[in-house]
Formats: sequence, structure tokens, C-alpha cells
Amino acid sequence: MADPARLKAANRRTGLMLFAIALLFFVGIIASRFIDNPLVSTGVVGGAVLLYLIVAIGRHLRP
Amino acid sequence: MSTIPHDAIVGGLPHDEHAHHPKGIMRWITTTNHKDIGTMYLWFSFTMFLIGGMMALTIRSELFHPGLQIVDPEFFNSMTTLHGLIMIFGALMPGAVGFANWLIPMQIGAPDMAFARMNNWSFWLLPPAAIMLLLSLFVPGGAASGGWTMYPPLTVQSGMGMDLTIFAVHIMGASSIMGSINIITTILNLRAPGMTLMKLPLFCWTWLITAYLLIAVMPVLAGAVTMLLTDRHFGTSFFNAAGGGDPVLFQHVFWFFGHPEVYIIILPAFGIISEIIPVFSRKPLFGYASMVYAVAAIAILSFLVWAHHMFTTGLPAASILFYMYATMLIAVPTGVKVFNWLATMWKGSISLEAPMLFALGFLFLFTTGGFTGLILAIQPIDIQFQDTYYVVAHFHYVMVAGTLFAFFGGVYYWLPKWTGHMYDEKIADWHFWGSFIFFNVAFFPMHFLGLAGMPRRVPDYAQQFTDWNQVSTIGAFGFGLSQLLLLWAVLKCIRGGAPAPAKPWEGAMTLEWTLPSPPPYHSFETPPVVK
Repeated sequence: MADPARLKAANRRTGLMLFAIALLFFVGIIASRFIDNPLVSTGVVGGAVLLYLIVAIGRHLRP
Repeated sequence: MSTIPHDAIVGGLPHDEHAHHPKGIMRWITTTNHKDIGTMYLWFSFTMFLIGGMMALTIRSELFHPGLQIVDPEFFNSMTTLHGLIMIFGALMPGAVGFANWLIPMQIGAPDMAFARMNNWSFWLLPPAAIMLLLSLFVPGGAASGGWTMYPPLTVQSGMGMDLTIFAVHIMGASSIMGSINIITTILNLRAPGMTLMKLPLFCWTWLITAYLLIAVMPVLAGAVTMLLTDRHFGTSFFNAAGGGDPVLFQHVFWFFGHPEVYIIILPAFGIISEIIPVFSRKPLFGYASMVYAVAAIAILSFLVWAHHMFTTGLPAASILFYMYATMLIAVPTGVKVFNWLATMWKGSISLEAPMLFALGFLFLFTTGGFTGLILAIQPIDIQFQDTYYVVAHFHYVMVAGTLFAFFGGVYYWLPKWTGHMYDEKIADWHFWGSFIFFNVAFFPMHFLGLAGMPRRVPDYAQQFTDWNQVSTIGAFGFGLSQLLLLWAVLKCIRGGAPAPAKPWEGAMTLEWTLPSPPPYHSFETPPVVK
């Protein structure tokens, strides 16, 4: 483990990044209803969720 | 490698115990200690399990005879709704978080969770939300009664109980998101030196992926119920067809959350089973890497199958085919896991203590639930079984015999570590056999009822369904009473019993077993080094 200050900063970065992603999906799913073609915009939010998941999980799967 | 030989760990054993913390009730309210918070989550989960169980018994009592005799239909509908919400958001999810809190820091060699204060807050959001949900029974119009899925337009029209339900779901969702951020940050940043991701115990791996899933879907659910709320009170028409909205859109958004939610609940259970089976088979877990990849595959595929819950809403043929095949595809990584558990046991030196009994019960019954899931994935069959008791049987085989049996096994497996005492094996064995037998008595007949066409969420039924309903009700009461044995076993273990050594199970190889039983209040103040 790194020294406490660096560790705290790293924790804060990870936490804020994850919080921002959650906030983005929350706002995104509501905002998608206000766009001209809701089917496409909802699909974009759904695709973003899937992409996030593939990237987030996939980057940990290196043997 | 999920198992780490203990002679490969350098340092990291606890300092002298200086447990400076408040005493009495303030300890529990202000605590930031992962073990205390884990304990509170587990007790909260058990309490909600009993409350949700009482609601299930109310439902089953009403269904003992055809006709209406105990509760009126509105209250019956509230019971089915609250039973689902309480069991999912109040019992199963907090139960899994309780295990995560207790075990993840100890399994990765960390002193605590990354955000200890937020951890306290995550827990203390839950009791008010649960109380709000329960108090909704007493408001004008009664509690929400449109099913745990909260489909509009019914929920747009229902009374104040629905508002309380939406608010409770918001709060529980916020708690889950905070818990997930904490778990991911802890696993990524606080692992002991030398513990690479591919050396993580499988329980931590399943929780890492579950936490990513929660961050993806909880905001979507929160968004959906927020739109429902504005439809109810602020004149919007997201889901109101009269105002140009689309009620079926809610179903899409809900199940985009709801199907991954099934895996959010079952993946930590997979993790627990993956810890128990190798220990009681006295063999390393077969195919560790493939287990990790299978969990990842299940998580990602779970986002591509939501509309199989909506086969009767009139989807295009191409969509139906896609969702059918995608749903069946999930059986492949799930099959990999079941195969690996069986291969772990193959030629192992198996002993049948309570954790292993529950793990075997899980394997047998969860696989049964998985197979009925495959049957329901076939759209022409699903059209017939939609909203029948066949579906109720299917998801209880997954949720109860899957997740709950894994939790029971996990409780007995780690109870010696948590309390410092060995549990009473005889009571635990009775608990297993009572749960196993009565579970099947309660839920297996529901397959027959569903095949014969009995609809769910209706308090009355045709005369020809009486016999199997009566068998099912007897089984439900037996299953409920069997859970008192769990309470007895846990309380007895907390109060005393044979002292538990640091490693009561000879095959246990993860880091928590290097700590004394019970572990010191602050464990791993100096991180161990995993070679």
C-alpha cells in the first residue's frame, strides 16, 4: 500500500469517478426522454451502461 | 490462485488489541468499523427476512383454501408487493453487503473499508427506508399494491403508499450505490502487497463485479421511479399514455435494472459457494480463472436479456429471437461454474458439515431453478407461463434456494471466525434439513400449479388447485419455522460454545483465517505481504 496521503487521494479519485458515472446514468436516463427520438437516446444510454461495464470489468481480467 | 498458503504471508498479524470505541448503543450508531457495520447489515437483513417471511405466510394462509377468508384482496396485493420489495431490497441485498463488509477487508489484508464513514452512512440509510416501506401499510389507501415491479399506469393512479415506496427505493438505491463505491475502491486500492487481482479470493471477485453492476443499474432504477413520481405529482407524462407517454417504456427501463438485479443478488452467493466447496472438499477450486471469466460473462450478458420479462408485450419477432438466444447463452458461463464446483468436489475428501450441506443444497436447487429459467426463456412457452405460479416457483428456486442457502452456508462457515465459538452442528444440520425439505414442499408444487394455469398475485383460485396449494402452504410454514433454528444456532454460538481456533476448517486458505477468532477490532493494521 502507498503512503497514507497518496492512498487517500487515490481512494477519493476512484470514489468520485464511480459517483460521476452513477450520476451520469441517473441524469442520462431521464434526459433521454426529452430528446426528439427517445428510442435512440434511451438506446445510447443503455449502450453507455454496457460499454462502462465491459471496460470496467474487462480491464481487470488480464491474467 | 484463490488460495494463498499461509506460510506465504509475511507479517500483518494484528497488533495488541487496543479497541478504543464507544460502548453501548453509541458504538453501533457511530461505528466506522467494517466488522460492526457488517454485523448490523446481517442482523438487519435477518430481521427483514423474518418480516418479509411473515408477509409470505399471510399470502400462503389466504391461499390455503379457495375463496376469500383471511385478508381482503387489496391487502393481499400489498402483501405480495411488500414481500417482494422487502425480500430483495431489505433482506437479500443487505445480507450480501453484510458478508462483504465483514469479509472483504479481511480477505484482502486491509485494515478497513476505504470510506469508513460513508460505510456507516450506507447502513444507517436502510432502517429509515425499511420503516417507511412498512409504515406505508397504515397510510390512506394502504401500501403499494401493484407488484414489486411498480408498473404504470396502475402505480401512477395508486395512493400515498406508492410515494413512500418510491422514496424508500430511492434511499435504498443510494445506500447500494455508496456501498458499491466503497467496495470497488477498497478492493482496487487497499489490497495487501503481492495480492494481484488474480489472487483475489473468489468472494471478493464476485463482489467486485457485483458492485460494478450496482453502479450501472441502480441509477437507472432511480431515474425510472423519479419519472414515475413526477408523473404522479408534477404533471409529466413519461409513462402516461393519455399524455403521450409510454407505459411499456417503464417496463423496459425497469427490467434493464431488474434482470441484472437477479445477478447482483446471486453473484455474491456464487462467491460464498466458491469459498465453501473447496474447503470441505479439501481441494483447491477447480478452474479459478475460468470462474472469474464466467462471473464477468454472466454480468455482461445480464444486460442483454431484460426483454425476456416482456415477451407478452408484443415485441418484434427479431427481438424475441435475440432475447431468447441471449438468455439461453447465460446458461453457458453458469454451466461453467456448476461444472467447476462439481469438478472441485470430484475425488475430494468431502465432509458434510453445515456449510457444505447448504452448498450442496444450493447446487442441486439452484440448478433446478436455472433449468426452469431456460424453459421460460423459450418465448412460445413463456407466453403460456407468464404470470403463473410456474414463474413464482422458478424465481424462488433461484432466490431462496440459490442466494439464501448460500447465505446460510456462509453464516455457518464464518460464524466461528465472527464469534470465536463453534456453532452447534446438530442444530445447524436440523436447520439445513428443515429448510431443504420444507422449501421443496413449499415451492415444487408451484410448478404444477403454474403448468395448470394458476395465475400469481390473485387471492382466490379455482377449486382444482386446492390440493397443491395446501401442500405448498404447509411447506411454507415448515420453512418459516425452520429459520428459527438458524436464530437459535447463531444466538447459542454468540453466547458461548467450544472456542474456535484461528482456522477451524483445515482446508481454509484465505487471509481471514490467519487472524485469531474472533478477529481483533482493528485487523491488519500492518498489511500482510502475499508472496
